[in-house]
Amino acid sequence: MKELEFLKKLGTVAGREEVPQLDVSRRVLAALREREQDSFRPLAWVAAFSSAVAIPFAIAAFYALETLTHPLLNVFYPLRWVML
Amino acid sequence: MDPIDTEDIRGSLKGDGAAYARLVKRHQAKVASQLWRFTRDKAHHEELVQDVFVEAFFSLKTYRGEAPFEHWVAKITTAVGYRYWKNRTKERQDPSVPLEEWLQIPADRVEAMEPTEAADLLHRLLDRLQARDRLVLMLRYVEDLTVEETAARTGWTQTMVKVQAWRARKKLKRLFQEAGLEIGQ
Repeated sequence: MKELEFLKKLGTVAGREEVPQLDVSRRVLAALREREQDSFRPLAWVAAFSSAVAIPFAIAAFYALETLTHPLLNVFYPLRWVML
Repeated sequence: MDPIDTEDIRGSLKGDGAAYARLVKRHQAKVASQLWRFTRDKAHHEELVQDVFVEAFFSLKTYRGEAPFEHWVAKITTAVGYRYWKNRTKERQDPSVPLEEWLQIPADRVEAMEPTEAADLLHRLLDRLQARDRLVLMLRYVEDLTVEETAARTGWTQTMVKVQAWRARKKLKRLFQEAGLEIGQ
């Protein structure tokens, strides 16, 4: 097939062309660092959301624990306000 | 496999950036040479070379060392270049440079052409074909790879390579006929 011979000849001559010299090593490392930071970003959001949800539960748990360990505290605590 | 590559791959997997930089420096010229067939735009070319090594890094865990690292990277290079062509085909509004303009060069004059002129002509000629046809023609007839090697490089089956090459040859012939070019005259 003559078209293929033409293509091959063209490819052979084109292969002698000088390819631009470049050094991408620094850019590659920078891109990898950037991607690494990006991959942590969703995790940071999950952590922030978890903390926001956990704080009210922690406060509620603290009061529940107080009530269980000192059952009469709920009775005396309002009285203290009255005495003041 | 090259023991220096093995050592740097191990280092890279442990997070040693310097080891990966050494790996990039050793293989970037070959990758750049392969990608120069996919684009002749220097900015895009550099970006594609970078993309290859970024993708290679994230796939490094899957590299088993059965083939030389260079062959493994060549597969990624082909995939990156092919993806670039496919995206460009979608974006491209007017792919046509008038055929008459570049087909004025007689086939017997090809060997006397300047390499840059020939590369430019080759690029524009293949640019008129779909990415898949272009890829198979480039690998089989420009890079002179066997069916087996083309299949390994593209991830296609050997049957698919043969069928695709046959279709691409037909399209190439039609392209020349439409331009009214008689090869060899």
